[in-house]
Amino acid sequence: MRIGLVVAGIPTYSETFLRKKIAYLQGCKETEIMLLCDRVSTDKDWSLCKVVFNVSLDRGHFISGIVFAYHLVKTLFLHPLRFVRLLRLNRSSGMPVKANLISIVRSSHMLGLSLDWIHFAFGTLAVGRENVARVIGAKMAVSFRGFDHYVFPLKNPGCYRNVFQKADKFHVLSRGMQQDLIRSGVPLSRVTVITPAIDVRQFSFSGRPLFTDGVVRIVTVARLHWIKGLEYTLEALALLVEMGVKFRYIIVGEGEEKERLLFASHQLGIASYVSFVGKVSHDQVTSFMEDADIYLQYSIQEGFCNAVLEAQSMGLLCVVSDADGLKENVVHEKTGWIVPKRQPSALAHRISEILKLNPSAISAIRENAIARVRAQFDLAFQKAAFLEFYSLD
Amino acid sequence: MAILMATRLKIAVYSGTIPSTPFIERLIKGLAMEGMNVLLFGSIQGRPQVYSANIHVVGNRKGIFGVLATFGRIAKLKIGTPEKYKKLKGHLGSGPFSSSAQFRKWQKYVPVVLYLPDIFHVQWAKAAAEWLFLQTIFGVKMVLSLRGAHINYSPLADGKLREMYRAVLPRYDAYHAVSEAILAESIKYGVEKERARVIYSGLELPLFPKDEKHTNYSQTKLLVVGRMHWKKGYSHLLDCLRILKGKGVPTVATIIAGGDVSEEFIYHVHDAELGEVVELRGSLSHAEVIRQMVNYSALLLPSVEEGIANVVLEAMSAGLPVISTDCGGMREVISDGTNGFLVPVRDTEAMANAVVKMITLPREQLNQMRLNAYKTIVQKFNLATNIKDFVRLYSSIE
Repeated sequence: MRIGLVVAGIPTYSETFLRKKIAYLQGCKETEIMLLCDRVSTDKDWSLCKVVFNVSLDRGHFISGIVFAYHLVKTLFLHPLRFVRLLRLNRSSGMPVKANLISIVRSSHMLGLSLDWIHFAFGTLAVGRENVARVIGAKMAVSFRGFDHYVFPLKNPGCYRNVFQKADKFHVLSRGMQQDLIRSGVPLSRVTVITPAIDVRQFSFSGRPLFTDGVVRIVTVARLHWIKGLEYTLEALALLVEMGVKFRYIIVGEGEEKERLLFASHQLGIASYVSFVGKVSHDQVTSFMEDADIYLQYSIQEGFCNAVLEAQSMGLLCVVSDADGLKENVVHEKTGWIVPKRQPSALAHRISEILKLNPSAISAIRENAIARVRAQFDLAFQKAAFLEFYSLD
Repeated sequence: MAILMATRLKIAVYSGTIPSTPFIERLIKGLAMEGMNVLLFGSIQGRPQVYSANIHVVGNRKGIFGVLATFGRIAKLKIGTPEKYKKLKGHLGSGPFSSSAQFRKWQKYVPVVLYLPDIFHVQWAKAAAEWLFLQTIFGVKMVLSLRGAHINYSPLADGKLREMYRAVLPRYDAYHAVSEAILAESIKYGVEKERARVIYSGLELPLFPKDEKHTNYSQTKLLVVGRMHWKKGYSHLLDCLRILKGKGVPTVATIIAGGDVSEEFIYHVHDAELGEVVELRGSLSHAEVIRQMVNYSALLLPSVEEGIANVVLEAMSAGLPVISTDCGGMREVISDGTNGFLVPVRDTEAMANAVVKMITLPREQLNQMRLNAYKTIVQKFNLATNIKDFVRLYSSIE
């Protein structure tokens, strides 16, 4: 089975789930996977599988116009039948001429391939290229992340109309997303929930007792992006200070919201208790988590969240928002706690309640969390799900 | 006497662009009306402005005309005042034609060196370092305006900027701060209080509107003005609207925001089901915004950071009740319950309560509040006084 995985760029080191999936599939007998990569890069570190790059049109309008015309003509010359077929299918899908031609150039690196599946790693990547799979005689699969599913369509209403019609299979991260797709008219049989999973041996429980020295250690691993709800988190922590709680908060991650968050932590008077450590290695992330008592993920929008699985696996007390997939990631008052989003006082209140729990209640939560992640979210068990996904019933 | 001498001064009001923001434009025109010679440098944007006689524009146009003008200026400098040319070359390292980057630098600095002002007034702290050479090499007196963003949060995230401020700010001859709060913050970077003056933004005063204009509405209509930047606190605004919805208080908000609508905002409106109560309007002209004010119950400023928000001053002068967060210098404008409502920053519950309080205030009390607000502008924020303060500031360094 030959699978072409369409990605925006070569997966970075932090996209572990994707890398593991690729490694696994590549290791399977009679399965070959290749990356169909939109963004050209010279990353020499990638050796898991073959990579086919898209054309690069990044050179300013005038020059890219010429490059565009060149690639269009080249594609017509190299794959005339597929070119025409794609042109026709796009037109019957209602694409105007300009978008149609752009679609062809954006798909040109795929037209020469012989594949069983074209799998778009993110929904947004499939928009405008819904007919390519059919043209090359492959089936089409689309994975939806939180962002594609919950945020992108707001500024681009109806963007997935053709995707929903044409794709043979959809992969989503949560049952909530599955329900949403069904509501959009996709048959249940075509939507498979494969939650993220982790290598539980890598995120093992250290057995360290919590709250040892009167200072509560809190950590979040997340990009500094508005969807992660970090500003609300800081506002909640400021309320905790007023309640007399001593804490240290470490935020592991980089991003465009750094200035905003630094300002908030200063304005709220908690700058000395909050550290922004930036982007660090895998080992360092694990080390920060090992040292923490509480893991916070008070996101505004979240597909599912690997970091919360990792935290539960390591026995951290997880307090998360009720955003999307987090409701399926954590079981409220069994493996962690769920707090309605955008309510800093509710979050502060919940944390202070947790600090009053007796040790046996805390142990119970930790044990439940660890056991559940091991039973349901271990990468070892998920591997079969990947293969099964590509065999249509 | 000091003011008489000051009228012969050549003052450069530099913000980088011509025209500049509304409040800087008011400063420019106000200074000209006081008889000062105002020089404007920077890149010319959009259509040519018509200024009065004692405002001399020596700007840079984009494209070929700008390049030709620069050639002419470089020639004039080299031939007319070769010592100045030499000093500038010494500062910039090489001549204008050694590279295109060098040419752009010369394009920027030659107009200023050619028409050397007595006082060069930099409007934004981030530009403080690059113009100091005028003082060290040409003996120009340097004044710096200390405004919101550049002082309040940019240096927090940017270590290099902090270093620059600490090194450069103390060397200026005088400072203008838009609020006491900003001045207090600037002192951390070496600004000397004795050489600084808080001069509030000034408005030209319209007539106070008659009572009939702000009538009671069956639905509270809030006006919010400001582009989509995190400092404007839109997430707190939307959370406040959700609280009001939950309390059963029919409130709609009209947001006048220039520029792109942020994804964060759209998502929040959708997520919190506020589509029916939020109206988004693109950018309106300054004059149009003020004209629209009569259609609203109150202006709401949900910002987490401001210097002193000009739109609040405008609302107060137009008789529109104001609910503002206590950010930046806003407490220097509003005294809670007297001339408006002031709520703690980031406190959405308090913001919602203030809206309810405003709605339920008896009519006479609301009118008294509006009158007090207008008086505040007359006493503290009117353009005429404001301009005289600037003239005094300039005179003090001669």
